[in-house]
Amino acid sequence: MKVLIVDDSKAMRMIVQRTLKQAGFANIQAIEAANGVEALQMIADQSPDIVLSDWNMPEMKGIELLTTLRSNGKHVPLGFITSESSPEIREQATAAGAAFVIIKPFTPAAFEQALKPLMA
Amino acid sequence: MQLDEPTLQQITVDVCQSMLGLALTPISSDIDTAKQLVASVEIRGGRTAAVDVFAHEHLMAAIAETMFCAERSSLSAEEIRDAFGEIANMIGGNVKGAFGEESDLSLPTIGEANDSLDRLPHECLRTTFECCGHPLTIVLREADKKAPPVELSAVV
Repeated sequence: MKVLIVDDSKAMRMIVQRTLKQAGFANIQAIEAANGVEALQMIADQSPDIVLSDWNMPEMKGIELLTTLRSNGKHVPLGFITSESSPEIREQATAAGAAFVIIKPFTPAAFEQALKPLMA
Repeated sequence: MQLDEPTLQQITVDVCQSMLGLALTPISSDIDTAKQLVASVEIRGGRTAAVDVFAHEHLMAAIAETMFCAERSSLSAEEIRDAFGEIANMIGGNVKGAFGEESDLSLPTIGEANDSLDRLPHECLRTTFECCGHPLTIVLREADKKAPPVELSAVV
């Protein structure tokens, strides 16, 4: 399974990869993008099975990435991993079609709970 | 919601200790900021505030080592700043969530601390921990709604 991790922080992309393994998702191929614009290109080129995206990024925010994907007819599951913990962010994400929202700081258990239904 | 020091401490512990495994011990906030850097994020909207994270470069490197799972010698200056900025981003995002009002969170910026801790207004909220043998100070500066607009990033 190919997972695209989108975050402007290289450190956070590494932590997300590590947490995926800690959550028991050993057989994944992780690919990375630093913002929504890069992510759109990688989704077009590499067709990931799942996208894990930060919310707040330069160039293109995570929510713009999701709305652009859906308006282009791309239905790859996308979940947010963000420090934006307010209810309106969660509502906005859900309304736009996000598969889940994981709040930073997170645990492997949060990843397992959010991602297991999508990995089946 | 009015944030108090225990809440700011808990947010910091959740980010640094629970997620990253960095041991934190609360200490006095009477800290010399010489050679420290500060990572800041701003919250603008229903509430206007800034969250500043102060740390010595050695602590920044220790945080980066933990986040990247790598030796300091293999990390670039950019990677160390990236890891430090992400700490400010996570703490700031959770402070914004605790405010419970619609607002925007800026991307983190990093600069020299110099004497900026000494120049902070008295009414700001601050908490300090010892982390990896160095002080880690978190400051929440909130703009007074009745006062004229202030440039929150001016302290950096």
